[in-house]
Amino acid sequence: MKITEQQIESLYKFTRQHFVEHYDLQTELVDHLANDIESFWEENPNLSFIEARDLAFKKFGVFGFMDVVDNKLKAMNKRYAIILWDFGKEWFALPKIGITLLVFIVFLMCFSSQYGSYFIYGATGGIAIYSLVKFIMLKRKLKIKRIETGRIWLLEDLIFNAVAMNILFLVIHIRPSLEIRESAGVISWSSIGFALFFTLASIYSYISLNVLPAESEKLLNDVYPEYKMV
Amino acid sequence: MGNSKLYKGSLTTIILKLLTEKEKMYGYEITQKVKLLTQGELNITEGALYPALHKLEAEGLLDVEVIKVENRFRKYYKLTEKGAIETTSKLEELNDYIKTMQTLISPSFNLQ
Repeated sequence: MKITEQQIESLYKFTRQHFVEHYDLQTELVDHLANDIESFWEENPNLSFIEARDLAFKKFGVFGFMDVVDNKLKAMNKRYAIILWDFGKEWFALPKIGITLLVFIVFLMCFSSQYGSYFIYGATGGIAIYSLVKFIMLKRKLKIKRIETGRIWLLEDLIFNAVAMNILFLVIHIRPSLEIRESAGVISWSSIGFALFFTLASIYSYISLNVLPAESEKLLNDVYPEYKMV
Repeated sequence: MGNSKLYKGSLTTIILKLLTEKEKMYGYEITQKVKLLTQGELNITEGALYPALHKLEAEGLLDVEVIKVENRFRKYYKLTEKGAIETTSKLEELNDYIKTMQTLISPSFNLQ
C-alpha cells in the first residue's frame, strides 16, 4: 500500500502541528514518516493511516521532533555564519580592503576629535536606526513571500531576521563609550578600539542586512536543491 | 544493543562509512541499512540520526541532492571530498579505539 498525495499533505500539516515551522525540515520528516508508514503497511495492511503515522512518530521519542528542530537550527546557524564569513572575507582582501581602511580612518578621525563621544553616539544611533528600518522592510518582505508561497525556509528565516544580532552588538558597547571622553582630541587606544569595532559592525550590518537578503534567492538555491522544484 | 551510549559517539562514523559504500542515501534508508547489517542489534533512532546528518551537512562533509520520488521529495546525502578524507580519519580513530578496548578487556590484560 502506498501513501496518497492527500496523506502527504496531511503529514506536512502534522509536522507543522508538532512545531516544525520550516519547509525544508518538514519535507525531510514527511518523507521519513511516509517511508515508515508504508513499511508498517507491508507488515500489517489493516493499520489505518493515523495508527501507522502515530507509530512512526513514536520512534522520534518523547520529545517528538523537538530535538531534530533544535539541532537543525544549530547546524543552520553554523552554516549561516560560514556564509557570512565568506562574504566578510572579501572586505579584508583587494580591492574591498581599500574601502575598509577608509571607513576605519574616517571613524578614527571622528572618534579622536574633541567631539569623539558624540560621534560614537551618532554612529550608534545611525546603525540602530538603519537596522530598525531594514528590520521592518525585511520582515515585511518575508511576510509577503510567506503568504504568496505558503512556506518558509530555515535559512531564509535566518537571513531575514539577522537584525537581532545587530542590536546586540550595539547594546554591548554603549556603556564603555563614555570612557572615550577622557582622551578626547588625541588618538588613543580606546579611539582605535572604537574605530575598529564600528568598522567591523558596519561591514557586518551591510552584509547581513543588505548583501545576504539581496543574494537570498541564490543562497537558497545553493543550499536547497528542492527550492526551485516547489 | 541495550546500551545506546556505547555507539552514540560512533554514529557519525557509521553514517560516513555507509556513504563510502553507497553513493547516496536518505535518512530512512540509513536507519534500515544499519538495522539490516547488524541484524537488528543496532537501532539508530530518528531523534539522533537527523541531527547528526544536519551537523555533517553544515560542516561541509555531506552534500545533498533532492529527488522527487512518487508523490514526495526525498533528500539524499552524499560524501563531499572533505567528507571522504574525514571518513578515513574517523575510521582510523575508531579502529585505534577498538584495539585499545580489546587490549583492556582481553584475558591477557592483568593489572598486576
